[in-house]
Amino acid sequence: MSILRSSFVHAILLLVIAILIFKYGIHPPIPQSLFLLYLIITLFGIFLFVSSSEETWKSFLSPIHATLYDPRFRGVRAVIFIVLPVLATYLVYLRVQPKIEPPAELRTIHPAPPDTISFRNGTIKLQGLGNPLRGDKEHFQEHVNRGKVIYFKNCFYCHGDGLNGEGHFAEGLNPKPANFTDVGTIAQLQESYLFWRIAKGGPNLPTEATPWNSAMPAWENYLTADEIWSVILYLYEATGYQPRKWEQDQ
Amino acid sequence: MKKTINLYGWISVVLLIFFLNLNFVHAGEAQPPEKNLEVGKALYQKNCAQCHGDNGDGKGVSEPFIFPKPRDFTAGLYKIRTTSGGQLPLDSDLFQTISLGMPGSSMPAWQQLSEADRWQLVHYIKTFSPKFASETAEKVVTTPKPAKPDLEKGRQLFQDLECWKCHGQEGRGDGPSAPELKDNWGFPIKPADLTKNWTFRGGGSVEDIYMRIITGINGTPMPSFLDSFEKPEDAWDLAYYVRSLSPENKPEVTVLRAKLIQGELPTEPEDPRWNELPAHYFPLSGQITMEPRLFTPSIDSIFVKAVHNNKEIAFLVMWNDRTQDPPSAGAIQQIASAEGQQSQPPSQPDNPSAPQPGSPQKFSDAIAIQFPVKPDPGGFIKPYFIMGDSERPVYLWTWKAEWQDVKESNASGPFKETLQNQESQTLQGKGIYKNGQWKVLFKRALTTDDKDHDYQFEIGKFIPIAFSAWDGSNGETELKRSLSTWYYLFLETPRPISQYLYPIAAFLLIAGAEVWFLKRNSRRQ
Ligand code: HEC
Ligand code: HEC
Ligand code: HEC
Repeated sequence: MSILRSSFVHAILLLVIAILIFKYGIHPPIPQSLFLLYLIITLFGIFLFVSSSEETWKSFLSPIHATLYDPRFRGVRAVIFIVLPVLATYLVYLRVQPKIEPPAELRTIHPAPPDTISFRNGTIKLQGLGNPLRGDKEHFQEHVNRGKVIYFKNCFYCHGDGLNGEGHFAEGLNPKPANFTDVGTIAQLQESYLFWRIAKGGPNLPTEATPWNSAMPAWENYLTADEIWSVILYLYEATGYQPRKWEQDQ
Repeated sequence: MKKTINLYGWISVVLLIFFLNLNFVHAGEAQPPEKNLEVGKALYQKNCAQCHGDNGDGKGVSEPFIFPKPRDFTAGLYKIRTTSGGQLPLDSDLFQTISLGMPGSSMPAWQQLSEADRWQLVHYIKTFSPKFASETAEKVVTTPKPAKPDLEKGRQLFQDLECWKCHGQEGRGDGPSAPELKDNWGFPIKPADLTKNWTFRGGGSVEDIYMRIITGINGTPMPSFLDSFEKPEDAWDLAYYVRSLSPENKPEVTVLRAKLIQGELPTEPEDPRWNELPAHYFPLSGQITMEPRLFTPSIDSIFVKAVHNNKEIAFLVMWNDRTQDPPSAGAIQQIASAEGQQSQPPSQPDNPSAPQPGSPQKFSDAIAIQFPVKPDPGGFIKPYFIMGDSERPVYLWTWKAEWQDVKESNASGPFKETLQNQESQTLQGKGIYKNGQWKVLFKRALTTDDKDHDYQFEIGKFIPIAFSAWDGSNGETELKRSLSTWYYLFLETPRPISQYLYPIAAFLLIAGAEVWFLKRNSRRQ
């Protein structure tokens, strides 16, 4: 029997190719947990493939059977029988080494916003609130330009020139500054939500969002409401995203 | 048969796609596009003007907040080149800088722009300086890399060519000339810290370092050393030596693991036992969340080692600082005698160049380690990372050069810090400054009597820990500091027996199964 026709060899080949593709073929690289999941699905597929007919199943089992029973493979068998327990001992030893993984910080990135917030001696109702500057079609570009200047005076050193969260202070921060070009941030949020986050910063976050670690400043101390609305306009214009609308939620 | 061909057909198609895909990812250097200054200008206004200014003069709106300052393109002086000292850069040099950014500064890598767009930017920024019309530049002549670098020779060259005068004996940027250096625009400039190659503007590889040594860095005091070598390949030995001052890879943040040792803990920063312990890296950033903010911090990272012996815990915090503030008595003497002959006594108040301890614009170098006061029962909630909050105060260990001592304090927010009273001060510590580096030791018993104010360390737990550092000569004090967010400290536990039992059990299980199988097999035969 040609070795290429053995479905045992097919199975191994498929597995190797799948691993290669999952490890190196996908950009950006996938996390370990996803890799394991893919691997399990692949193994299941390969099992279906080898057990699809009597013929492939036999051909799959025959090399395994041969190594276990065939007198010709006595040497191979001896090696496997020695390597197997030693390897298992070593792997278990590695596993029970005290691994010091820090406790997982389950941080809620987008907690529910409050209904109203205090803002510079007043209060602002967030429910149903839109960006007042968006209606001002005549001066729209002016507002955006002003937002850009505000961004490049106040935000870029954390959130980055490319709005990608990679400012020059980002490395020292944990959690990292938000990456506005990612579909998971402003593209999913309402402008009133951004107003809350920018005005109140990290300290006003609820407990599940780990307020103690967020370096996001409370900008109400530095910027007026108008300035915050214009920097929000700039974030959307520069990334090309649309804010989520209140109507979409109804 | 048919089935087999089918399968191999599929496998080859998948492999082909896979490798083609890899090739596309690595395919570099497309042909530069046709020059179009209109396109270049629009790209520049959108992406670069906020730092480099509308007219390329380096005066964009972000300029006041960053150091090193954005390049003023009108002078035609470029740092990162493959051309001789003083010459203009090649277009490909500019393309490279725009694509890779300048590490250690705020100049980002512009990977999100297409290669064609980056070429248009190269053409456009050249229009800011008339030099590009009148001067030419040529690629510098390079020597091939030697098969085996001679690090000892490199070290000798570092001495002979006086690199140490600016970069310091151990390369930390603390040489005797360092404090006075200015760049061509009159801004103070710091010689690179050669122990952190990931902050080199032109990249940290040996090839990059070699190129900087032979081409120099225009607009800065760092000259070209092309003609300083007896044999041109010597430059490679020097480059390899400089590369060897930094770690193999840029370090990454990990849990700060306090190793369990037997016997007494070290009480000196120079105790040789510290050398056997791994140094944990923690990046810091300027405190820019609350007023007063520090936009141009000077300490970008620290390294920390920790040990405990079940009774006490000791930390060694190490960081690079080009100046010692306040200077040691010896250093003041040296400066005074170097300023020498016209000899004014260093205490003369109207001699501003003589650094005086406690002079108003300078502050003391310092470092602080921050813990919560008490662990959170759920192990999750922490105090606010900048000195805690009123609900959850923090417990601080501070060492200041001007104290030459360590102190314990508690804080419930910025400007709400109180030193603990004398009876409660059980922390010991010591700091020394050598060759551009501070090493500060802290030591305390794991548990103390003052349970209301002191953190009580437990082994085998994840303990929140954060750091702050101050460079006094950079005007840093109080909230003007470099700091980290919360990380974790872990005190090693003695190894439990189960660690040895489980592997033995695994061995017995499998070996037993094998014996059973072999027995059954031989019986069958
Ligand atoms: C000191 C660094 C820093 C500065 C300066 C800063 N931010 Fe942030 N910002 C962060 C960090 C860190 C986060 C992520 C943690 C969080 O959500 O609080 C964040 C989060 C945000 C979010 C929430 C995004 C989301 O998906 O929930 C918005 C919006 C935001 N920043 C806007 C701004 C704006 C606008 C400015 C300038 C006016 C600014 N930031 C300045 C550090 C900073
Ligand atoms: C956040 C501010 C910032 C932005 C935005 C920025 N730069 Fe820079 N750039 C800098 C700084 C700071 C330097 C100087 C770094 C140094 O001298 O160490 C610099 C230097 C340069 C240099 C000089 C390289 C050399 O060899 O001296 C070039 C070229 C350059 N930038 C091009 C660009 C282009 C093109 C863009 C837009 C796509 C851009 N920069 C956007 C901050 C910025
Ligand atoms: C007169 C002072 C001076 C001398 C002498 C000097 N340097 Fe420098 N060097 C500097 C300064 C200043 C910088 C930082 C330039 C900057 O920040 O852009 C620098 C930067 C560097 C860098 C980092 C380059 C980069 O990409 O950022 C290397 C590597 C370096 N020097 C190596 C050397 C070596 C090797 C020698 C001896 C042959 C030497 N220097 C001599 C002042 C000096």
